[in-house]
Amino acid sequence: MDDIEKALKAALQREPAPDGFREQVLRKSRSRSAPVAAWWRLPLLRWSVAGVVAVVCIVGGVSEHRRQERMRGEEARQQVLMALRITGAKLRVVQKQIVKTSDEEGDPR
Amino acid sequence: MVFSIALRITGNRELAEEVAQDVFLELHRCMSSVQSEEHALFWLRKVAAHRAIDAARRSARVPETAADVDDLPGEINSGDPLLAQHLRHVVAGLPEKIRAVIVLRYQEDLMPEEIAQTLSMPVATVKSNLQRGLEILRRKTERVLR
Repeated sequence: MDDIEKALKAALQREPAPDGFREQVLRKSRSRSAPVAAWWRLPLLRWSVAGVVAVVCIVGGVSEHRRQERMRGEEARQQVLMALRITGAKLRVVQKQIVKTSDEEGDPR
Repeated sequence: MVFSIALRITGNRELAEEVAQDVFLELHRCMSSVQSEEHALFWLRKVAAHRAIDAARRSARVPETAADVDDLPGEINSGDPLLAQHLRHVVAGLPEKIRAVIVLRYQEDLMPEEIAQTLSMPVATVKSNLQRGLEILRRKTERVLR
């Protein structure tokens, strides 16, 4: 080992960590969130889970859309039936009126 | 050891502290894979050196002034304090890989084969980096040694 190497050895003595370093590491270690499960670290599994969630969302959305369409159809059917009932009732009133009028005209008083 | 490696490679006390904290947190996470005390020491040196090289590259900060050198204190057991300060200054200005090799050789007292394992580089590259580093240090220190 020559002079420069000896001088280097003397110059590059280990520097101790600053005060409070250990405490800071411990604090950081505690403040870190709960460890992530090992399986979640696998990219394939992560993507699979994301895919399943996406499919469930799409299927759920489509089925909800269809349910709402069915409800709207049922509502429209009820409205048509109601309109038919009203029309029927009115026709009956008119029919009674006609019968009554023709009876009065044919009556020889 | 970890903080000291990071400090000599990054040349920045705050950055070195950050790197050293990250290294210990990483060790805490990988504790189950540590097989022995020697393995832990090897792991700490390896991760500290790699992280410090990356941090030094990212910060792209090379201490060049006397004020920067004051950021890199060190207890000197023997020799000339001015020479030691000058050497630390020159080491701090070396390219990161050469700096890391010099720090591991003269601060950590590692053999070239151990440095090669630590930095994941061929032994021949370690030796050539050592020679190149010493050459630069000799050239820049000649004036001080006279």
